[in-house]
Amino acid sequence: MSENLTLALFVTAAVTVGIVVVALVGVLIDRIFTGQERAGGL
Amino acid sequence: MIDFLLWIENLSFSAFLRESSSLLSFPIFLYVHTLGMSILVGSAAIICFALLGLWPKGAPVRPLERFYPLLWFGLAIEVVTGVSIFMKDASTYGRNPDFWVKLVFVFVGVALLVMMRKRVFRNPQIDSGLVPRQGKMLAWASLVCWFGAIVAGRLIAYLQPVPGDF
Repeated sequence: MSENLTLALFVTAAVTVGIVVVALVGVLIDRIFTGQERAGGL
Repeated sequence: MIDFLLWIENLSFSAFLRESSSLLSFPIFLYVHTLGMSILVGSAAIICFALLGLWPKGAPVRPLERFYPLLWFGLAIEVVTGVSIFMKDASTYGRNPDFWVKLVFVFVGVALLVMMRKRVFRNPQIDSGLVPRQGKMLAWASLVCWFGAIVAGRLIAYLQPVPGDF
């Protein structure tokens, strides 16, 4: 496998894992605090 | 301390991020912060998973060290956008204990990544396909830190004080 393909696969997998984790945590916490106005997190 | 935070908050850049309705103010900074987090945490997670055994059998783990610059790229995005977002409501975020909890998770997470590089990826034992026990412990600790940083970061929006309170 070429180095560029490896890099592309790694970046794709990394960003996918990152987005899924960040989104899941966000949705879960939003559900726990349902109804409470949120002001934006860091 | 509060005077310094208020001074930061009253800078024109902070006011722009806080008050502008443009998509190129707070929304784009928050979006890029989330994207940077995905790059940083996603890359760290994949390296940790590989050290914990979620990696094709027989495939070397050492080449993953080449992806550290990607981690630092994600971290740089986080620092620039994170500091900018902090400036927007410095006096509020600065008084929020959850914000400091997040920072501790981030600092420890970065320290663990540096330790992992020095003690695991530069350990000759890794060429034999065996990840040292210390490497697995570092990987677990790193996963806990990054997960903690994401959870603490999200909770900043809900735990007092939140922007707008005083």
